[in-house]
Amino acid sequence: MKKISYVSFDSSSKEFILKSLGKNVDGEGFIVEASTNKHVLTQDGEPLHIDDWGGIRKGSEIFFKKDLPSVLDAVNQATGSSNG
Amino acid sequence: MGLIADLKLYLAEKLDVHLTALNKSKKHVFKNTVKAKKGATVNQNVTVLNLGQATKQEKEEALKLLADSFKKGDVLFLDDESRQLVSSVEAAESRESEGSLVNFFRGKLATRDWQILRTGLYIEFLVTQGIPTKEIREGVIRNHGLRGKNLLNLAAAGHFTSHIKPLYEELSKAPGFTDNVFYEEFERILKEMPFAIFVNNTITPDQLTDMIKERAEAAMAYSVDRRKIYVHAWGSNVRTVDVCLAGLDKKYKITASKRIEVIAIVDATIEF
Repeated sequence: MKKISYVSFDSSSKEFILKSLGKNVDGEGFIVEASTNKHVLTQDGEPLHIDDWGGIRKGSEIFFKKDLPSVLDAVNQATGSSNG
Repeated sequence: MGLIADLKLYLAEKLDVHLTALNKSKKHVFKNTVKAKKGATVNQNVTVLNLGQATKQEKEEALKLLADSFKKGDVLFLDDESRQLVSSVEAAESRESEGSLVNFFRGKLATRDWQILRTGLYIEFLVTQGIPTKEIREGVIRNHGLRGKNLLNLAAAGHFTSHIKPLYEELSKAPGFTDNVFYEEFERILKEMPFAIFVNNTITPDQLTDMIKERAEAAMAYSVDRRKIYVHAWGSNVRTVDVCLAGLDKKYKITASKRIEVIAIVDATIEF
């Protein structure tokens, strides 16, 4: 299993994390690319509201929601301990 | 050490870091013990980096450090609640009963299904601890739909232990078995989950008859739209279903399907 740093954030530092990755939050609360203002998408192809945002993992940039199966999958993928 | 030196150190050592801008104290770094949710046993040391008092230059340096580590794949950004949940799930899975089931289905279920199974087993654990599970359930239903909900309920109700895993083990004894044989049966079960009774060897034909009658009466009392019950059994339990269905009142409309893989399997839909 690959060792990684978990960088956790609270609501006060969400936008700081997004900024570090070149993202913004638009007027309706959706996460967007700072350069183009286009919505970032989850792997299901859905735009992501900041309130539903669980985190982001490498693999280009994979945004995931904060439901538990999605979070568990992100951890498995990031640490190389995925299913099968 | 200052904020940037600490951040560099923790990222280099692959240690967990918590970022906050809420704390207005001048102290940038302090140790914090995050307690896992009640019932889990993990206490995790997390270093908190306080951005509340960071200078503009420090913030910019921190941004660059985080972005560089992320690009190398050394960092996973997770919101607070999710981080705590992951720790709690891992603690729950360290118990033999839960961990062995999770490992059994690793690679056998599609990834998303496997993660929902883990979530369902975690919910089952939380329920035994008297901890509310509403938010976790709602998150699954919101993002994984009806199928996700059914899978979650199947796992949280203990049916993976009592019915699904033994079914897989029996089916896999067939020469030339592939997971597709299991998936076909599994999908059928998932689809009918809300109406399902899984018959195991502790249930007698009379008890099954009583269960069917009770379910039917409850559905009628509450004007449930879909008036049906789904019964699933395999192996020696097929006979239990046969005996029960043969003696069931004629007012019930029964559609039964029997098939033999390595073992006999029966499922019956009872409408009323």
